[in-house]
Amino acid sequence: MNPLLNVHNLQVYFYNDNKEELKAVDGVSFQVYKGETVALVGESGCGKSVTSLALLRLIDSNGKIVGGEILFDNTDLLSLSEKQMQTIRGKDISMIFQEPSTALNPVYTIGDQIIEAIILHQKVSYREAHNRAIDMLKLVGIPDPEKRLNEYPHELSGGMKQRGMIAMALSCHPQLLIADEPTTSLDVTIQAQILELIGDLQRQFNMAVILITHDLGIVADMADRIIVMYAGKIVEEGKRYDIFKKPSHPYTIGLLRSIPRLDIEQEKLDSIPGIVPDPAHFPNGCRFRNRCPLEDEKCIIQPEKSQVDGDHYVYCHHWTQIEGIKDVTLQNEGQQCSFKN
Amino acid sequence: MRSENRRIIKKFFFNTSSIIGFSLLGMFIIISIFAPWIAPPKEGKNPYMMPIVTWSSNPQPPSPEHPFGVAGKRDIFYGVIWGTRTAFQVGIIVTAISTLIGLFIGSVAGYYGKFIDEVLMRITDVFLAIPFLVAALVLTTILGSGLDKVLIAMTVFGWMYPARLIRGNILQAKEEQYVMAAKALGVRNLFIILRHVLPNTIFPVLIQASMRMGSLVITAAALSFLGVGSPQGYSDWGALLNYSRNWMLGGQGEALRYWYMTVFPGVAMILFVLSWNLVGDALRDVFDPRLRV
Amino acid sequence: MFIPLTLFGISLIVFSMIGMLSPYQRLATFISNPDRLKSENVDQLIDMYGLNDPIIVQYVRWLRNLFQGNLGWSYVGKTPVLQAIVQRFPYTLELTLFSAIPIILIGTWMGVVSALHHNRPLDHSLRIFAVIGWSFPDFVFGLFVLMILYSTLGLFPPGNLSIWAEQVVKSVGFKSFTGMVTIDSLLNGRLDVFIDSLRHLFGPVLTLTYVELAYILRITRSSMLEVLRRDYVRTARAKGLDEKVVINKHAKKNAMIPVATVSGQTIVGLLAGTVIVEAIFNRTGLGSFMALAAQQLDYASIMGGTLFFGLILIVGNLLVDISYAYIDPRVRLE
Repeated sequence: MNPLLNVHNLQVYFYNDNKEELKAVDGVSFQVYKGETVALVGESGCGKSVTSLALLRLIDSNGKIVGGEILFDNTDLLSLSEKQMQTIRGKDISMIFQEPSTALNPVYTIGDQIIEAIILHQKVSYREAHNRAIDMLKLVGIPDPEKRLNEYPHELSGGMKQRGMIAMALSCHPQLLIADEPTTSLDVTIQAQILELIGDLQRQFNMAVILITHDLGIVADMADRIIVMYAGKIVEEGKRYDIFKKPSHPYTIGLLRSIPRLDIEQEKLDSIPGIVPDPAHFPNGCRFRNRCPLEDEKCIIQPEKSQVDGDHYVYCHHWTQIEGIKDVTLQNEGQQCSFKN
Repeated sequence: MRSENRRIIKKFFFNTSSIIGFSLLGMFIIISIFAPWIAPPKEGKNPYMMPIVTWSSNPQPPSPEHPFGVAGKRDIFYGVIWGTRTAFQVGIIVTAISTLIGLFIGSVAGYYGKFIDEVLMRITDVFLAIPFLVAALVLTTILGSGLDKVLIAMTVFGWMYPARLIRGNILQAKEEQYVMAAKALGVRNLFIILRHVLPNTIFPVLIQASMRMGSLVITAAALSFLGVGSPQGYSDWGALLNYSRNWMLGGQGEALRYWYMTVFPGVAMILFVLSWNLVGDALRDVFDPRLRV
Repeated sequence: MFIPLTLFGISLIVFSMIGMLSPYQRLATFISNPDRLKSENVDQLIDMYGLNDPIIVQYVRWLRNLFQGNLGWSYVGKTPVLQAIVQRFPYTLELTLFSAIPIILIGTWMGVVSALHHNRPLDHSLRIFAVIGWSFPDFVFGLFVLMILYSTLGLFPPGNLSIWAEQVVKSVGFKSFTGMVTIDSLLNGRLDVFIDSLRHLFGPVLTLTYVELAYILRITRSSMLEVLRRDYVRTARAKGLDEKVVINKHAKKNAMIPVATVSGQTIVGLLAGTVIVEAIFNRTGLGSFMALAAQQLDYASIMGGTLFFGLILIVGNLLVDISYAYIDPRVRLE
C-alpha cells in the first residue's frame, strides 16, 4: 500500500544573527498512511514542529528547506509553486496549533474565519458556506452553533477556541491533519475531550493525523505509530505497542522512564541527565552520545537505521545491548553529567 | 568589565544612528562651551544679545566678516552660536524641572492608587486638554514675554508627560510578581518602591526626557518666532527665524535671496532635535528593544 | 462621563490665568463693546463688573457669562470673541482635514510597505525619511517650504485666496454652506475658486503633513512588524490564503488598532500645529488668531481661544475613543 505522505531525507536549516547554521531538521525520513495516527515525539527543540511546518512549507523567513523530498499523494510538495501550495493548505493538508488564543484572529468572528476557509477552497455561495460552518461547529461539539458563529475568539473559552480551530481546519475535509501540541495549553479534562474529538473525526473522515507532542501519555492513547525525534533526527520509530514494550534507543528509554508512575514506589523522579545540545554546535556522530550511558568510540559515527522487528526501527549502535540499560541508568544517577563540547 | 555591560555599551555606541546622534550632540556641546571664543561678545555687553553690526535694516548675505549673513541688523553667525547655549539652557531647565515635578506627582499617584490616583489623573487630563503650544503661548502672554516666562510656561504645562509615564509604570510594577514576592516576604512598601520599582521604571522616563529635549526647544523657538519669547536681539534660533519670515513674505519672488536667514538657524535646529532623537532612540534600544518604533 | 469634569477643570485653569491679570486687563474679557472701555470711567466699570470682588464670585459670574456666549471683546478680531472664533474655525478645520487625510492614508501605506520590506533598502530609505521628518521642527519646515514654493514657483502662494477669488467668495451670489472655501466653492460650482483655494492650501498642508506623517509611518511600521509575527498570521497562511490576503485582511486590520489611537491624537494635535503654520503662511484661522492675540496681548481672545481649543480636543479624543471601540472588538464589551 502506498503511503499518503512520504518524507525522504528532509533537511531544514535556520540562520541566526551570528550567521550560524542551525540544523533544526537534519535528514528526517518517515511515512504516513491513510487513516492512521502517527505521533511525533520529543523534547522541545528536537525539530518536530519544524518538520510539520516544513510539510506545509510554512517555515519562517530565517529558515530554509535545504534538501529532501516530501511526497504527498505522489506529488513532491517541494517542487510546487507557492500558488499550488496554497491549494493544498487547508484543503488536502490542514494544521492546528498549540495556542488557540493566539492562533485565531481577534478581530474577526469565529464564523468569519471558518467561512473564509470554506469559500476559499470550495466554490460555494456565502449562504452555503455559512451553513457548512454551522455544521462543522456542531460536529466539533460546540453548543448553540448559530450564536457562536458570530462571536469573537476572546468571547470563547480555551476548549471552545480549540474546537473552533479544529472546525476550521477540517472544514474542507483534508486527508491529513497535522496537530501541533493541540492540547498542551488546555486543562487536563479539556485535553481528554479534544483528543477524543480528534479521534472521532479522524475515523469519520478516514483522515491521517500527525500528532506532535512531548506528552507520552497522549501518545499511548492515540497513536498507531510513534516516531521519536532528538536534536533534528529520528532516533526510533515503530508501532505503539513495540515502542512501549520494547524501546530500543537509550533516549526513548529515558523518556519512558521519566514518566511519573503511580503504580510503583519512586523516591526520585527519573530524568535524563544533561541538556539538549546547542543546535549551532551539534556533536559529531550520534547527537545523543553526550547524555548516553552506552556511549563509546563507535558513537562518533552517525548510527545507521537498524531493524529491530517488522517495522520497528532504531538508530543506535548499541540497541542490542539495551537489556543492560536498566541497571546502568540507575547507577548513573549519582554521577555528574558530562556535557562535552 | 562584565561581558554583559560590554555588550550593552557596544550596542549603545556602535550603531549608525547612535554614532550620528552622539557626534551631533557632542558638536553642539562643544559649540556652546566654546561660544565666547567662537563668537566673541562685545566688551561689557550681555553676551546673549546679538551685536548690532550694520545701519541698514536690510538683510545681508554671508560674507567673510559675517559668515552666516546679517539679519535685523545683527550677525546671524553670532546668533546661531550663542543660540546653542540658549537651546541647551531652555531644554535642560524645562526638562529637568518638569520631569522632577512629573516624577513626584506620578509616583504619588501610582504608589497610593485609588482615590489619590483618580484625582491626580483628572488634574493631569485637564492640563493635557489644552494643546501644549497654545497653553505655553497663553501663559507666556499673561506673564509677560521674556525667556524666563517661557521657561515657566513650558514647565507648568510640561510635567504631565513624565507623570503619566511613571504612574503607568508604577501601576504595572505593583502587579509584577517580584513585587508581590517582596511583599510576601514582608518588605515594607516604601522600600519596595525605591528598591524594586523605581529602577525599572526610571529608564522610560529618561528616554522620554531625551526626546522631549528636542520638542521643547522647538516649542520655545516657536514662541520666540511668534514674538512672545526672548526679547529683541536675543540669541535664539526662533527669534532669528522670525526675522526671516517677514522678509520672505514681503519680498515677492525674492524669497530665495534671503535664504541664509532661514537656512542657518533652521539647520541648527534640525540637527539639534535630530541629535536628541537619535540619542533617545539609542537609549531605548539598549534598555528595552521592544519599545523600538 | 468625564467630559463635563474636564471642561470644568479647563475653565478653572483658564480662569486662574485670567486671575493673574490686573482688573483693568480683565475688563476686556467681560465687555463686548470696545467703545465703552474708552468712554466710561474705568474704575466705575471695574466696580460695576465686580472685578474687585472675591474670586469665587468672579468665577461664577464669568461662568455665567460663558454660558450666555459672552466671552468678551476681541481686540484682534474687532468683534465679540465668540463670533471671532466661530468665523475663523472653518478655515482651521479645512486645513486640518486636508492634512489629516494624507497623513493617515500615506503614513499608514508607507508604514505597511516599510514593514513588508523589513530591513531591505526600501525599508531603510523610508525609515530615514521618517526620522528626518520627525526631527524637523514644523515651523522650520514651513519656512523652508514657504521659501521654496513662494519664491521659485509662485504656484503656491501664502494666504487663503488670491484677491480675485476673495471677491468671488465675498460676493452676494456665493453661498456659504460650511465656511470652508474648498467645499463651498465646489458646492457653488466655482471650480476656479476651488483650484485657487487648493493652490493656497498646498504649502501649509505640506508642512503640517510631513512631520506627522513621519510619526504615523513609524507607528504603523512597528505595529505591522509586531502583527506579522503573530500566530494568527501563520494560521491564515496554513489555511491556504494567498499572501496578499493574509497581509491585507488579517494582518493589517490588527496592525491598525494602535495606529488608530495615535492617529486620533495626532489629528487633534494638528489643531495646535495650525497656530504656527497659519502664522507662517499668513492664513486666516483660529491658529493665527491665537498667535496674533498673543502678540497684541488681547487677553479676551486668548482665553476664549484656549477654551475652544480645549473643547475641540476633548470632543476629538472622545471621537477617537468611540472609533477605537468600533475597530477593536475586544474593547466593545466595555
